[in-house]
Amino acid sequence: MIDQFLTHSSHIHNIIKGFNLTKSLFVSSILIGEPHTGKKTLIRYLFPDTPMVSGDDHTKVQDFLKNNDEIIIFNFEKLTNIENLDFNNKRVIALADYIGNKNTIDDLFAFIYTMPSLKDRQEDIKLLANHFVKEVANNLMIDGNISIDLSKIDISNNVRSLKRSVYHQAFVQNCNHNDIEEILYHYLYHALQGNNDYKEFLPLFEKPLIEAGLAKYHSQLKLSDILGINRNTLRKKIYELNLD
Amino acid sequence: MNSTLTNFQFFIEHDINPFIVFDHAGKVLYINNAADILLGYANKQELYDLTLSYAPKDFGFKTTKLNLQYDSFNFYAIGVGYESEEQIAIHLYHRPSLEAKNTQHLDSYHTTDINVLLEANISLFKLQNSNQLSLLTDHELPPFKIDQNQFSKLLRKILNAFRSSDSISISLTLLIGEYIIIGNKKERLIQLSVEANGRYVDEDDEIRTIARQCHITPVLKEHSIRLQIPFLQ
Repeated sequence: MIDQFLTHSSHIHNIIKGFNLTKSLFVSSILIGEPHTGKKTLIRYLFPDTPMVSGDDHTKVQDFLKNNDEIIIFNFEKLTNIENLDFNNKRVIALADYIGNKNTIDDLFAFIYTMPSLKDRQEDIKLLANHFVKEVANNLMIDGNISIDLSKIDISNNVRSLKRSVYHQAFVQNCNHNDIEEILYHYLYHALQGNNDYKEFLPLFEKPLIEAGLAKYHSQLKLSDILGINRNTLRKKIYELNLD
Repeated sequence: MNSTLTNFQFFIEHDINPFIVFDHAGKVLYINNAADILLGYANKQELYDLTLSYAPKDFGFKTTKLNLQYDSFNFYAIGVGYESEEQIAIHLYHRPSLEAKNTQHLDSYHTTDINVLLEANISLFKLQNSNQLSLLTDHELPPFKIDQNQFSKLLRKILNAFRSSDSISISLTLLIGEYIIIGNKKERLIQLSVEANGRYVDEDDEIRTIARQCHITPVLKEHSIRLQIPFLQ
C-alpha cells in the first residue's frame, strides 16, 4: 500500500485528478512514459487492489479481462494482437513505455495520458533525492549526515538512476578507513593478474589522494608540505596522473 | 370511402416531416410539431422563398428532390402545393439516416454523471493544451445512461479538434421540446456544444462515426461541434 505518490509536478497532479474522476467509470485509460518514471507506482497508489497483469502474456491478459471488471495491464507495449481485445464495459488501465501503433491506441483508449520523464519535471528531483536519502539511511543504517550533490544526480534512467546516484553518494560519504581498505582489498583481489600491477594499481590510491589535496588546499606547494613529499615529485605525479 | 370524417390535421400535426402553410404574404397560417422545431433553426422567410421557388406553375402539388440542411435537419425533397391564391403549403421530407451499426446495446450503458466525464476530459485536454476554456453546465442535470468509454473517446476527439483555438466555450443544456426515438421510445435530448473561433476537421469522420454508434446526433460546423445526446434514464 502506497500512502503518497511523491511529486510536485502539476502535470502528474492533473493525471491523478483525471484518474480519480474516472475511478468509478467503465473507461479505458493508458499511461505512456519512459521506463522508471513511476507509472506503476502511481497506478498502484491510485488502484491498490486492482488485479495486475503483464502485457507479455496475451493469454493471461485475456483471462484477466474475462474474469475482472477492472484490470491493470503493465508492459502494454509487449502485448500482441491488441486489436482483438474487448475493453467494453471494463475499467482497463494500461501502462506502456512507448506506443507502437498510435491509431490502435487511439481506438482502444478513451483517456491517453503521458507520464513526464524526470528531465521534464526537475521539481521532483530534489523531492525524490530527499526521499531516497531517508531510505538509504534507514536501509544501510547510516547515522551520519548525508549531503547529496544534486548536480551529480544521474537522471538518464529516471527514478532508477536517481536512486542509484543517491545510494552511491550516501555510501561513498559514509565509508570509513576500514570500509575503503575492504573495498580495495575486494577489488584488487579480483583485478590483480598482470606482471606490472604495482605500477598499474598505484594510481588507484595516488589519484584520489592528490585530487582531494589539490581541491582542499588549492596549492601544490602547500600540498607537498602536507603530504611530506618534494614539490617536484608532486608536480611529476600530477603530470603522470593527468591532473593538470 | 368517406374521407370527410377523418381528422387529417391530427395526422399532419404528428408527422415527423415538417409541414407549413403560408398565406399570400408569407405569414404562417399553420405549422405542425416538426415544423415548429425546424423554425428554431431555419429562417421563416427563407422557407417561404423556398416554397414560392418550388411551387407548381398551376394549382396542384409538386414534389422536388433537393438537398437541404438546417442545422441537424437534413431533407432530401420538398413538396409544395396550393389550391387557391390565398394559401400555399410546403412539406419537407427528412432524409432517412443510415443507422450506424450499434456495437453496444443500450442495456450495457451505465448511469453516469456527464459532468464528471466532462471534467475528466477537460483535465486531459489541459495536460496538452493551454487554451482558455469556459464551461457552462447544469450541475443539477441528473445522471443518465451512456456508453462511458465511447463517449469519453468522442469528447477527447471533439476537444482535440479545438486544440489550436484561442478560447473554447463548452455548454451543456437539456433541450426543451426536442426528442429522439430510440427503440420505439421517445427520449429527451441533452445538447453539448463546443465552440471557438475555428477548429480542425481532420477527425470529423471519426467523430460522426463514434457519435452515431452511441445514438448521438453530431452537428459539425466550421466553428462549433454540437452533440444531441439522448437522455436515457
